[in-house]
Amino acid sequence: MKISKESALRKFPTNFIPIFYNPLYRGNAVARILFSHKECVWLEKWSLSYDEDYNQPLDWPESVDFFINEHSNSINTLIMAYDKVDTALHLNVKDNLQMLKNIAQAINKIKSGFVFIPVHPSNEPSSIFHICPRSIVLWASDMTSINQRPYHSKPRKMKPIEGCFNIDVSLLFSQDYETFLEEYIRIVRWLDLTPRINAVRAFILRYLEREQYIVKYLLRSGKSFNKI
Amino acid sequence: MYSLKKVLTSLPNNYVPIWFAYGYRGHAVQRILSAHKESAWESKWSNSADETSNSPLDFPECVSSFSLHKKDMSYKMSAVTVHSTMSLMILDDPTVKELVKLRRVWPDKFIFITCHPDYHTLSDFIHVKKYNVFLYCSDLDTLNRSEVFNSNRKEILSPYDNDNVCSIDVAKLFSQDYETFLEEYLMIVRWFDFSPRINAVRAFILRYCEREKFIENF
Repeated sequence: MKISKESALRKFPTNFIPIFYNPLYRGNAVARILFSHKECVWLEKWSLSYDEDYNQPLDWPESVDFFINEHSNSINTLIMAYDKVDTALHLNVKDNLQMLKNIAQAINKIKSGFVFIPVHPSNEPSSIFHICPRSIVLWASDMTSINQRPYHSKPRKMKPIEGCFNIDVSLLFSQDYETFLEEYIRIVRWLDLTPRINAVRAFILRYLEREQYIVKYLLRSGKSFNKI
Repeated sequence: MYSLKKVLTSLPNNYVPIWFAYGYRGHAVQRILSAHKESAWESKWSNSADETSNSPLDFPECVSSFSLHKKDMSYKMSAVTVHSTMSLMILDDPTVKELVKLRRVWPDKFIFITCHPDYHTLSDFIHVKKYNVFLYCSDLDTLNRSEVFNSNRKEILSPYDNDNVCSIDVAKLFSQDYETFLEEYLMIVRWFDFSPRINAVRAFILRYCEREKFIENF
């Protein structure tokens, strides 16, 4: 059975908010950040962690050094899993039926509290951004900030979309604290969230450090990868 | 007031004093050590006005700093310190009673307690407990984060060489370089046979250092 992204989005209740982003725009990290606020609903099973003790959205797994994802079952791509923070929610209708089931279950059960669903817009028509009453779009004012990993595939340029809430990931994931703070507070205000500045910032700093660590490792070993 | 030696002697071996000089990030180390599942932690020790921030590595979110210990502590200083309430600094009746009570609550977990030692007599105290933590700093420049910590700071440059002492180099543990941090952290993990929490501890340290830098430039 084939389900289009458009038809799936039409089933979203108003508390479900899609996050549109192109690959490499840190969409899953943004989802985890948003989910970590008390106004949002998070189920531990969405964490995709091997580690039963640490399943909150901003918890890193500690007994294994990466989250469960499509790369963690192959020795060649295991390294790539290190800087990925996938969750069990992603509207990737073509490849992963389990993800669709997770979303369908969430729609049936969760009637209040925000739920965020990452979506790659791919080649869908631009009307897809406006199906839900509230949509988030990730873009980067500075492409170099998301283009440091030595993958052959590079992030595709994405512009802010009018009528959507546009998050600049260059600012949110900035090494500069005040730059981060400005973008984060803008998000908090938009959804009227109770801020968690320290927890979110600690997650971002560790995320950036892990990313840099793997970049250094790959560059040192002369490796790069075709697939992400 | 009680005698420190008598209090330490009366406590079982899972109580671990952290001996450190003023300005050596002793309370941050206490929070890191207490964040492992082999350690005890109670939310009331957190010294936080934010009831949602209960883990030792949680910064308060609804206020900008942990609760003040001293009335004369400046805003800048309170913003960079992470003091808990589990300390041997003031041995009054309530503190000692609380310490003694905890023997029954946490018989199988490490209980880390902070203490500023008199370095001339420290050797008299070290042998009292089975485990001790001693903080030193191989690069004192790394402790220069706020003028309040720079004056009258002792120079503790070397580890304490004794089998029952885990000596921690705070210059390495709080290093900006990940691999330097990791080496020192894994030394601690092995010493106490902790289940490691590399990411959680590192995230705390990165944020802690960023807060210090922010306040320094404030």
